[in-house]
Amino acid sequence: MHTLPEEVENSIKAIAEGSEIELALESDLSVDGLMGQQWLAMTRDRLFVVSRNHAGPTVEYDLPIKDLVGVKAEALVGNGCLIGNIKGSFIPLIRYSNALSKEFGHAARRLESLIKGEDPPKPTEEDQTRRCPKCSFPLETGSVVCPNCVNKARAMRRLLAYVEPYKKLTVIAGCLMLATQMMALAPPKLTQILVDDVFRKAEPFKGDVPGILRGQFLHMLGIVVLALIATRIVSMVTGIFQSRLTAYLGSKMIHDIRMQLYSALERLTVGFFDKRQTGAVISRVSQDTGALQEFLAFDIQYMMSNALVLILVLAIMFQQNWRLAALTILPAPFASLAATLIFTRLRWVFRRVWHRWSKLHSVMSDSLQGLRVVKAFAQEDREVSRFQRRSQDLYTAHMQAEQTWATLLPILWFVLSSGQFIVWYAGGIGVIDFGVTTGTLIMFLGYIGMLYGPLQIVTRMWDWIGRCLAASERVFEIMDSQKEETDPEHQIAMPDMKGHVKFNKVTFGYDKNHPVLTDIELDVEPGEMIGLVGPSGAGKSTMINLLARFYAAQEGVVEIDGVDIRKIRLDDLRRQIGMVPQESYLFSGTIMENIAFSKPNATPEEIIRAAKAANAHDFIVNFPDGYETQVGERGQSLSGGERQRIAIARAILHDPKILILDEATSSIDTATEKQIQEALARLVKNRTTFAIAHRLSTLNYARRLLVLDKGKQAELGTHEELLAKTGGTYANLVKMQTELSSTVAVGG
Amino acid sequence: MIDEEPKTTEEDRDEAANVKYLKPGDFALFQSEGGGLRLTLADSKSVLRVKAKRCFPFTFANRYISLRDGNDEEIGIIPDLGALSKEYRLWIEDDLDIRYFTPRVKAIKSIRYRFGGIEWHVVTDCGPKRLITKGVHDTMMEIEPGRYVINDLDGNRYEVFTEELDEASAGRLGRLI
Repeated sequence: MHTLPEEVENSIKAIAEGSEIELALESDLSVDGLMGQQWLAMTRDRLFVVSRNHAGPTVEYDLPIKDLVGVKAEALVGNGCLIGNIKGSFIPLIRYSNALSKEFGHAARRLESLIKGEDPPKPTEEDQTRRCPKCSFPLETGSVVCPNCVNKARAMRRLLAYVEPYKKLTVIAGCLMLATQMMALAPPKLTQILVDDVFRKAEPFKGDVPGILRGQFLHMLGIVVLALIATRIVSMVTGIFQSRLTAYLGSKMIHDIRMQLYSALERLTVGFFDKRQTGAVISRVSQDTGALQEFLAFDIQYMMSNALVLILVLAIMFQQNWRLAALTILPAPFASLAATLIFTRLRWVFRRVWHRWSKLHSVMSDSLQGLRVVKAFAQEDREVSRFQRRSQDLYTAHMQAEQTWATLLPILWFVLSSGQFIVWYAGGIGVIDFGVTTGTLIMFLGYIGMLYGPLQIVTRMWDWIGRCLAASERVFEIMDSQKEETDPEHQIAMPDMKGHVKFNKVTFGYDKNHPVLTDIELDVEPGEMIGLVGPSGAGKSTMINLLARFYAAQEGVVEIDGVDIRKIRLDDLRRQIGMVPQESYLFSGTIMENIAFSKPNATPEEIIRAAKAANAHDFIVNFPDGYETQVGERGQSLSGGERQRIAIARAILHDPKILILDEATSSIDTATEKQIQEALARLVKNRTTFAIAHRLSTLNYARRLLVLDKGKQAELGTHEELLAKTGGTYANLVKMQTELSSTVAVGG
Repeated sequence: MIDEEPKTTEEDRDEAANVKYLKPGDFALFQSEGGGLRLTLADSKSVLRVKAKRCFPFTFANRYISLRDGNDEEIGIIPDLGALSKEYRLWIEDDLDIRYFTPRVKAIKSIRYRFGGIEWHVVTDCGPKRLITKGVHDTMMEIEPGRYVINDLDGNRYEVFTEELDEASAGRLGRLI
């Protein structure tokens, strides 16, 4: 519920005769369809729509709710409208942009219930447009993480918890890193010693150093060069160990995260996947964990070692000569700013290249995948010119990106190296006037080369950490999502069901505003086969989803043997429900493994018996590898009819009390059809069966048929009873299918 | 299984495939006080709730207008709104304006990449608006060269004609696409 501006509220109260405002919503469109405001307010018995202009609020509508026959939140294109049916006249009451469609959808349902005299529905999370409360960025469906406002400290703490089991190794890796960096810092210092204590002292002798002194110089030279070699070797060795260890730690930690994430995914409700595309979830698992892996395995050590170098270099420089050090880092802020600007610009141009690449890619994959169609309609030239346009776009973007890169990068390097000139000049003056040694100057030049790279990394560090934390939050979010109730103590054990299924006034909608099933009443005896019939979108699959407890009814109850399905122990329920889905999904592996999917310890005899009953045995044996034929991803090497029979064999082996049969729509030849029908007849025997049947031949097996139409129970009865109803939904469907099959028969 | 005369079914089938074009004299239109449309066909059939939908919303905004009843069944198609009386035309245009809310972007003040999307500040012919899109590829539809439809994360849409943009706005858009 939104808050009304005071003057709007007063204008309503003035005419509402003291009634409480029960619901108030602000629209983001004005009466004339411009971006603006309007308000919808509701008291117990009246509905108001108020607009406001410079003169003050205007009441556009003041309607007694009893005059309304119905209210609907209609989804239009790019906006929505609350349409009121006032005694048969349909009036657009208030418009809103799609950002508010959920809120107004709820308002419409609430008004409907008031009109019908029912209790108003309570708003749930689904009725709110989900936005980040801080930055109002819309949140991903089912996600509460705003990547812009992610709680960095919390995410970091949780991420660091994965380091906990490897504490000792992490400390060792840290020490090795420290050693590596310390060693890397030694060469400039050693160079200073060499220059100041050896070369400078030897120089005045112009090649004629006296014997004892020469020995000392050579001794010193040897020590310093050996030290240089030693530091390099130690740095290399500790570096190798540290990198290997960090790679192990990062990979191991990410393995732990990935395993935890995948186990969580397997236990999530089906609803979680309905709200998201499977592809998006897979990419979240791979991309986000990939991002974390990169971060934990490489970025962290990269950032930490660079930060460490930065601190150490600055410490040494200031300790050696603080004035020169201060002058040296003077251009650092400008260099950082320049780098940030340049990298932002480069990101834009390369993003554009990527965007144009993907456009070119879609043209290419479109026309190559549909090559036969292109050729059949002689459209090759048009496709080539489409490609040419995209390629031209890409060429322009690519050229500009490369040119920008070629121009900006040298500029960046110049800015980054500008500290060097200061060291040369100021350091030079120091040498001339203030007794700074040449060695110190050379050492500074060595350190400054080490300074600007890490400075860059450190300035961009927050960006990387932010990205990683957003990825980690998204991963944690899946881990924390709603899991199926696996086995709470209070659930009822039902190891041996009879299979008496009852739908008791069941209403359900994936989106509450749009019920897919309304008031379904059905009593199915154990062993009875019920055919579910109706046009697509009638709610047949939804009934099955409720029976398998993939979803729970919003109103009413689904019962098995008199027990509310939600209270049955999930293990017992799923063990006794079998399913032959419309798309017979076969997993990668052998046919044997696929049949035994529901009973992994099945004996070969059991598997063969099931395949035989499913009329699958003969074709399986005819494969060169028999039951050990690999079916590949999605079983593409098998025909539709074969896949279906394997799925039936799987269900027969599972031996469920309640069977769900979602018949495939794909047409198959008569011989295969006959085989499948036989297999199904064996499968359904003595099981309570719910069959979504598309073929009349399957419906013949059903004792009764439930005809659904737009989510409502249209007819229930035997095939003959329903057929006898002239003008009935079922009779019409049969008529249509008979015509279709006669057309197919004549046509082909 | 069903004994029906094939001729009747064939006629039904052909009838269902026929497009019914409405000529100006084929119907009478009425507008209720709040703007809702009612219609009576020449054969006296009345439709209490009439919705107008565009068959080609981008190419022929005022032609091929499908009139539909409350159950979304097509009553008929008006080939050209221009052929109707001014009154009818305005009523239908009003209905279309409500159905197709596609503000036209006149200026782009800023485009900013943020985590999870792109944030735009634009000025449209319906007023200023901050909108958020997810990426570029799936949210910007190119209708024809220089003409785009932006679909934001909420499902709202905005139309852009690049030639209508000022130089700075066009530059900002150009950097993106």
